[in-house]
Amino acid sequence: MERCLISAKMVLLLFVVFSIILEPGRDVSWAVLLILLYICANFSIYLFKSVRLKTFCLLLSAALAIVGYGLVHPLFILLLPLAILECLHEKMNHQLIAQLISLVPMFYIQTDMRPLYVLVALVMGLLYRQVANYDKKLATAHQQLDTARENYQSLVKRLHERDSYLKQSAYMLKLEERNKISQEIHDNIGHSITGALIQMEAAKSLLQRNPQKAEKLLQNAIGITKEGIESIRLTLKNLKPSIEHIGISRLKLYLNEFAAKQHISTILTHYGDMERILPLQWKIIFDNMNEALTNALRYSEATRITVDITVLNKLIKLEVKDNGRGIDILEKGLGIIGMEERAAAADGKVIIDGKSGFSVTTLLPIQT
Amino acid sequence: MHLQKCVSFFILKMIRLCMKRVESVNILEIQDLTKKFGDFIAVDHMSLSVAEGEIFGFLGSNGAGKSTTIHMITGLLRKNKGTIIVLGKNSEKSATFIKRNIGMVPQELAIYEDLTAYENVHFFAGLYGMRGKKLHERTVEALKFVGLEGKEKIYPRNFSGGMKRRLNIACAIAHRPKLIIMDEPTVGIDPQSRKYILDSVRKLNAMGCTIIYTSHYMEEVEEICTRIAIIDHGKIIAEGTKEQLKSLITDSKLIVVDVKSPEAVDLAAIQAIQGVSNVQLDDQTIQIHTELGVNNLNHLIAHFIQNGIEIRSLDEREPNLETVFLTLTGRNLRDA
Amino acid sequence: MNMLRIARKETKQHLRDVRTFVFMVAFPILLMLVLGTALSNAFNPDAQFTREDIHVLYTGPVKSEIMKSFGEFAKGTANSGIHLKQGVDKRESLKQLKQDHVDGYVEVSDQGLHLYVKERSGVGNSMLQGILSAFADRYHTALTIAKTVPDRMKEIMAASSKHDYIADRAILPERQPDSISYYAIVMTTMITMYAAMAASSLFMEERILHTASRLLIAPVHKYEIFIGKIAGSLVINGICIAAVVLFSSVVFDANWGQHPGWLALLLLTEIIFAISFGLGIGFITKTPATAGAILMIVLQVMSFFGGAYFKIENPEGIMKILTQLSPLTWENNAILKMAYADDLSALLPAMYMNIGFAIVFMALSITIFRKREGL
Repeated sequence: MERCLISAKMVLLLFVVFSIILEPGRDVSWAVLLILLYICANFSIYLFKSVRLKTFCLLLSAALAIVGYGLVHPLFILLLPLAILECLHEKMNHQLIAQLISLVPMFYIQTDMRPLYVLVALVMGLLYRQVANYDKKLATAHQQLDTARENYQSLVKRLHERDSYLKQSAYMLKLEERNKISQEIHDNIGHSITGALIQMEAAKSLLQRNPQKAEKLLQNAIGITKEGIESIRLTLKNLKPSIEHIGISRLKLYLNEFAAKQHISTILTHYGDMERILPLQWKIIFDNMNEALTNALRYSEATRITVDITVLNKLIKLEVKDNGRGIDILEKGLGIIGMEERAAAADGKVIIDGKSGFSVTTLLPIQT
Repeated sequence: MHLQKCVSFFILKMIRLCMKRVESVNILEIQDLTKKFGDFIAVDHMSLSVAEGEIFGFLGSNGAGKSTTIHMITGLLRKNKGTIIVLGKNSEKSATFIKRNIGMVPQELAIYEDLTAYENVHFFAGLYGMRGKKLHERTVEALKFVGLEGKEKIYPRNFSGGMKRRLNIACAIAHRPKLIIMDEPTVGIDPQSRKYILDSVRKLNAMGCTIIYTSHYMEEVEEICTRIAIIDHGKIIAEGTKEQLKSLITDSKLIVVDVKSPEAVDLAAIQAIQGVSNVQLDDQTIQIHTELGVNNLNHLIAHFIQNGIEIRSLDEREPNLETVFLTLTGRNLRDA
Repeated sequence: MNMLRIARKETKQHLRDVRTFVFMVAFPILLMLVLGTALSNAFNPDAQFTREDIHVLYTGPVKSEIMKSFGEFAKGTANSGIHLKQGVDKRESLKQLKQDHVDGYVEVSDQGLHLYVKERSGVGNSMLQGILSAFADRYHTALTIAKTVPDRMKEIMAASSKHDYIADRAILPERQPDSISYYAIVMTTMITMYAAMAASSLFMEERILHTASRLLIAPVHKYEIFIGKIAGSLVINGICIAAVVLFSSVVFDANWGQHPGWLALLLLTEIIFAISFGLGIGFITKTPATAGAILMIVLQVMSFFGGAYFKIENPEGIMKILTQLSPLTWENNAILKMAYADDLSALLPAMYMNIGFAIVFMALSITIFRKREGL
C-alpha cells in the first residue's frame, strides 16, 4: 500500500515539476533544488523506523512546501496537504478530521491557487482514507488467515497423532493377543505339571511302604513332565512371532496391498541381518515408508516404487524411491517433517533427494 | 625487585595459558544452524563441533550446503536460525573478534589481477589491522609459505593456475588466523600444485592452525582430514574419523587372492588366521573377509607360501569414503 | 584506516587498467580532435547563421531621380541576398505582401523611403532597414555631391553598386569559443558523466572477482568498503578528468577561462553526481549488463541534448525542455559562461543540481546497500 501512496506522491511531484519547468522565463534551478530537498526529506521517511524522525521529516517537507510557495513558486503549496495528511494518517482515528485539517491552509493562500489546492487536498485525502481502510481490512484478513492456518495445522497434527496412535494400538493389540495366547497355553501346561507334581508327592509318600507303586507313579510323573516341557517348547515356538517375521513380512504384505490398490508396481528388497532391527525401529521404518508412499502417490506420477532395507554394520538404511518426475526445490511439508521427527527420535536422519525421481532415505543407527 | 616481577609475570602467563587450554577445546561449535533461500533449505538444522588442532573435512557433493555453512561461519551470509560459536564467542555478539581469527580461502580465485602478488597479500592482510614493518614481514612470510618468494612483483595474470591458487591461499593466511577455512582449494589444478597445497594444509596444521577443509574430492579428504562430516542436502548424515565412517557400513574388508591351484587351499586354516571372519572359494579366486583395522596380510601371504601355493594376484578391497557416501545416499559424490 | 587502504587499492587497481586510461583520457581527447577539426566550419564566425534570401517589391514615381538610383541600388543588393524587384503598383504590392509572396515592400518617393513589412521583428527586417537607411544616407550624400560636383556623381553611384551592403560580422568574434575549445569543454563534461559507467559496476566488480567475500570476511565494516571504493573512484576520475583538461588546454590551447578553482569545483561535483548516478543505477538493476545498457542510453541522450556532439543553439519548444533537462547543458553553460563571458552566475546552480541529484542517488544506493546481503 505504501507503494500506492508513493506513486501518488510521485505523480503530484511530477505535475509540480513539469508545471514549473514548462512555464517560460523562470529560473528553474531554485525550484529544482527545492524539489530535490523535498524528495530527500519526504522519502527519508521510509528509511527511518523511529516515529519521531518520521514526523520530523514530514514537518521538514511541510516547511519546504511553504518556503517554496513563498519564495519560489505558488505551485509548491500543493505539496503541503500531502505532508499534513501523511503526518496525521497514522495518528488520527478519524481520517475525516485529517482531511479537514489539510483544507485549512486554503484560507491563507492566493485566490487563484485555491481550487487546485482543494482538488489536490481532497483527492489525496480520499486516497489516504482508502489506503487506511484497505490496510485495516488487509490486517484483519491476515489475522484471520493466520488463525485459520493455525487451526489447520493443529488439526492436521491431531489427525496425525490419532492416526499413528490408532496404528500403534492395533499393533500392540496383536502382540498382546499373542502374548495372551501363549500365556494361556502356558497355564494349560501348568495344569499337567501340577498333575505330575501330585503324582510325585504321592510317590514320595509311598516310597517306604510300596516302592513298586511309587516307582510307577514317578515314572508317570516323569512322562507327564517330559511331555509338558516338549509341548511348552513347541507351542511357544509356534506361537511367538519372530520379530523379523513381523517386520519384513508386514512390509511385504502392505506393499502388495498398496500396489494392488494404486496400480503402481512396488519392489521390496532387503539386505543384511534383519534380526538387528528393533521393534521401535521397525515402527519408524513402517511409518516412514508409509509416508513416502503416500507422497509418491500424490505428487510423483510414478509408475514404480522401490523400497530397500539394508542393515549395514552400524546403520539401518531404508530407501523409498520412485521413478516419477522428482522435484528441484523441496518445500518441507508436514509429512517430511514428521518423517524427520520420527527418525530423530531414534537418532536417525532423513535424506530427501528429488534429482532423478524422488527418494526418501531414512538412516537409523543400530543401537548396541 | 626485578626478579619478583619476572616471576609474577611468568606465573600469570602460565595461568593464562592453562585457562586458554581449558577454554578452547572446541574452536567451532554450531548448533541447529539453518539457512533458507526462499523455499530451498540449503542448511537444515546442522549441528557440529570442531576441536582445536583438527583438520576437519566437509565432504559432500556440489550444492550439498558446504559453502553455505562456511559462509555463515565467516559472516558472509546471515543465518536464519541456530548459533555459531567460534573460539568460545557467539557470532552475533563478537563478529569482529571472530573475523580477526578466521582466514578463508574461497572456492573461486579472489585476487586482483591488476595488483602484484605482494600487493594482493599486503592489501588483504592490511585489512586485519596490521601496518608498517609487521605487515610487510607477514606478507613476505605468507608468500614464502606458499612458495611464491621471488615472484612478489609479478602480476597474477601471468601466473599459472596452480600459482594463482597458492596466492589465493597466501591472501587468507597472512594475518595468522587460528581457524582457516578452505573451500575447495584444489578445484581444477595440476597434480603437483594439488600436492603442494595439501602439504601446506598439513604444515599449517602443524603450526597450530585448525583447518576446515571442504571438498568433493574424496581422496583429498581421506588423505588429510582427521575428522570428517558427510553433508548431503544441508544435513550432516554422518560424522567421525574415516575409520568410524567406514565402520558405519561394514566392519570387514575383502581380500581377493587369485591362486594357481585353488583346490589345494586349506580354507579352514585360513579361517583360523587372526581377523579372518569368512573365507569362500569362488571360481578361481579365494575371497577372504577380514576385520577392518587388523593387518593380517603378512600372515595370509605366509600361509600361501608355506603351503607352496602360487599367488597370481592379490587385491585388497577396502571400503573408501566414496563407498560410504554411495551407500548412505545412493548417489555418487561427483554427480548429483 | 581501512577506508584509506581500500581507496588506495581501488586507485592503484584502476590506474593500472589500460581500459580506464583509454576510455577516460584517450577517448575524449580523440573525440575533441576529430569533432573539433571536422566540425570547425560550424563555428566560423562569418557563418553564424544562414541567411535566407529576402524578396522585396518597390514602387515609385517612374521618372524621378531617386527611383533611378534605387533601381541601380537594387541590382547591387542581389549578391547580399536581398532581391529588390519593381512592383506593379502600391496596392498590388501590398496585397502580395499580405499573402506572404514577398517579405517586404518599399514605397519610394521624393520624400524618402517607406518600408512595409509584416512583422516588426526578425533578422531579415532589421537587415532590410539597415540597407535602406544605408541607401538613404548614400543618396543624400550623392545629392549633396551632385549639387556641388555634378560630374563625379556617376562615379559614386557606380562604386556604391559593388558594395557589400551587409557587414554581418559578429560583434565579439574572439569571445565565442572556437570549435576545439567548445569540444574540449563539452567532451570533458561528457566523459565526466561517463564515470557513471564504471561506478555502476563498482561493487559488482568485486563480486565478479570474488574478492567481495574476502573484503566482507575481513574485520571491515560495510560502510568502510562503501566509502573507500567511492573515494577511490573519485580519485581515479579526478585524475583522468584533470589530465583531459590539462592536455586540452596545453596541447589544443583550449580556453578554460580564468577561474581554475571554480572549474575544478564544478567538475568535482559533476564527478560526484556521475558516480552516485552510476551507483544508483547499478544498485537498482540486477546485472551489470542491464545497468550498462540503461546508462549507455541515458548518457547518450544526455550528451546529445547537452550539446556534446554539436552545438544546439536557441532551441525551441520541446527541444528546449529536453536540452534544459540534460545535466550536461548546465555544466556546459556554466563553464562556457565562465570562460567566455567571465560570468560565474551559472556555476552555483549547476553545482547545486549536481550535489542535489548526487544526494538523491546516493541515498538510494545506501538504502539498497544496507539491505543487501553481501556487496
